[in-house]
Amino acid sequence: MIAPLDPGTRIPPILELTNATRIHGPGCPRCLTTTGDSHGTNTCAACGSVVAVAEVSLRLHRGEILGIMGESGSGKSSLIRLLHLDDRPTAGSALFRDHDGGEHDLFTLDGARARWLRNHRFGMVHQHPHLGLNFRVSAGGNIAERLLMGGCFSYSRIRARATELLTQVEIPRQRMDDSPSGFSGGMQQRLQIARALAPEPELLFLDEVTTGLDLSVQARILDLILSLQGQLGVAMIVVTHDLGVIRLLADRAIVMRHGRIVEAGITDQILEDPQHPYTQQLVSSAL
Amino acid sequence: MIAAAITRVATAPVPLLPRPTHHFGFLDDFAKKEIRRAVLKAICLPGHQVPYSSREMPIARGFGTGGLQLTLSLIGAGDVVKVIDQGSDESVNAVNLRDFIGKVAPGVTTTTATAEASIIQSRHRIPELPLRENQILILQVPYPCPLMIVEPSERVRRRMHAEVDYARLWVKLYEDLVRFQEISISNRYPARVHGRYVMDPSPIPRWDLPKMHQSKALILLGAGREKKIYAVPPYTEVEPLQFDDIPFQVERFQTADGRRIPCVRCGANDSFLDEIPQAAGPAIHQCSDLDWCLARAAATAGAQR
Repeated sequence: MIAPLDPGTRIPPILELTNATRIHGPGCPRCLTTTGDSHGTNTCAACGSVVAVAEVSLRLHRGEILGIMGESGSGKSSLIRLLHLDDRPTAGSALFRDHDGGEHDLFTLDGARARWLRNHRFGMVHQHPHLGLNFRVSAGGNIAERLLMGGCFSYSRIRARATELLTQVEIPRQRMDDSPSGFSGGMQQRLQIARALAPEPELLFLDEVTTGLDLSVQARILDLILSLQGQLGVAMIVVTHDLGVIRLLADRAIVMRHGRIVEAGITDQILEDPQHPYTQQLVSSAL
Repeated sequence: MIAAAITRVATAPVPLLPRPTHHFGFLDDFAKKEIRRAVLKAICLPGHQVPYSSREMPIARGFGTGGLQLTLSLIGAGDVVKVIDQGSDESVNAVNLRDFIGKVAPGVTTTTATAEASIIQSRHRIPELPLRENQILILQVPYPCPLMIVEPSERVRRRMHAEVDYARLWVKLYEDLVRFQEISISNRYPARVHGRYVMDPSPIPRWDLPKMHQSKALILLGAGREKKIYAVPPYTEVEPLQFDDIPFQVERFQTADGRRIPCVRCGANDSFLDEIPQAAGPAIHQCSDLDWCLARAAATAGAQR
């Protein structure tokens, strides 16, 4: 699979994030200058605010998989929350271009528009199934909810689409009307993926989706993600601290630390020839 | 106070007027004004729940205080009030509320006849007789928010209404169809008003929901305990939540072999029936709307005579 690389392409990126910053706390003029990689902290020395994400810029093209690596607390999930419109940035802008040619200035949307975008254009797979699934309704109901959010109100079409999606993620169709609480961890994760993909999103966020699963299940989930990506051509942002996941899935990767991007490039380049000391340490300790 | 001031300046003693024991319509003017404001706002935003400071009433919360406050803030001399409780004018609740309204609002008459009433306060039913433009229907509401069954937090529910986020309510319907092959909601069936807000139509049976659609009468809904007022203005769209391929259905009242059960009293086969179990033998069915049933039975008896 040859993904369009960042510079020099003519097709405009699906997502353009420019100088996104998220500061928790009062904030002061020194927040950005006293934190970051060179200071070894993300807590502002002057006012005590936590700089979760600082001046992060990135681009993502249609059908591309971008990996975000970093230790816990590095701002990976905060960044995802900003992009999935679950949180608002302190500063910065983000532009999302959908396939209809619509351009959405993500950080200025009101609640209803943000919801519309999340329901129709985005998908999210969480690390913990209980964050992404509704355990009070059946597996089919979880998929139905996404379809209903997207405005599909035909019962037979919902049933047909749910069957199709469950088949795609290898969940037996006779389990469709069972509660996901009776599913294994791997099945719950696959159901989450089916749910996220239900409205045919253009951008999928995967937040540590294989963490906590045993190795054979991890491998199947990753295979599934890759094959679905091949079929659907959906752009993905994959957050993980597992280098194997990055190596297998991501075309490009960024490495974050203390809320900053410390290294960015083609995955192989980063893993084979890491430049930043932190990335070098990460790669050498894992491989 | 005015009477006292007059006695001080008057040269001849003026007989004191008997001091009224309460305001007209029991509520003080500030309370009425606030409720009327909430009503106006509710009419402007069909189906939207408008908060108001529900007052203490001489009946317990949950016994129709929301409906009563609406009635008392809207009535004036010349109004004719009817109070129904589950279709009946004769239940304790209906009789007490009607007597109370008659007592605290001199000049207001009460009735049991739907056709004569200008204001109809009701619990759990909408009269079978189609309402007119010059009538107001006031419904008592225990739970004003249709999202209560899927979301416990009011704060979250308000945001869901604001963002037209009703997917979880739809999932409830979907799950019903999966489990029971039909939707199990017998009353309080959620309905979308004016293409926007989804409302709880109060515990009326499904049978009554179509009567709200394009209703000629103004429909006001008041929840006393939950402190909310909402409205369906005249000639407004009210559509039950339904899947494109599974139509909304009202109660059928059929025997096992598919025949419509008639009312034992008036013989009607086009009304909402109450099932009344009998000590011996099978249950009997009669119209829930007492006024409508009695009028019909009388007409039938007159025709036979």
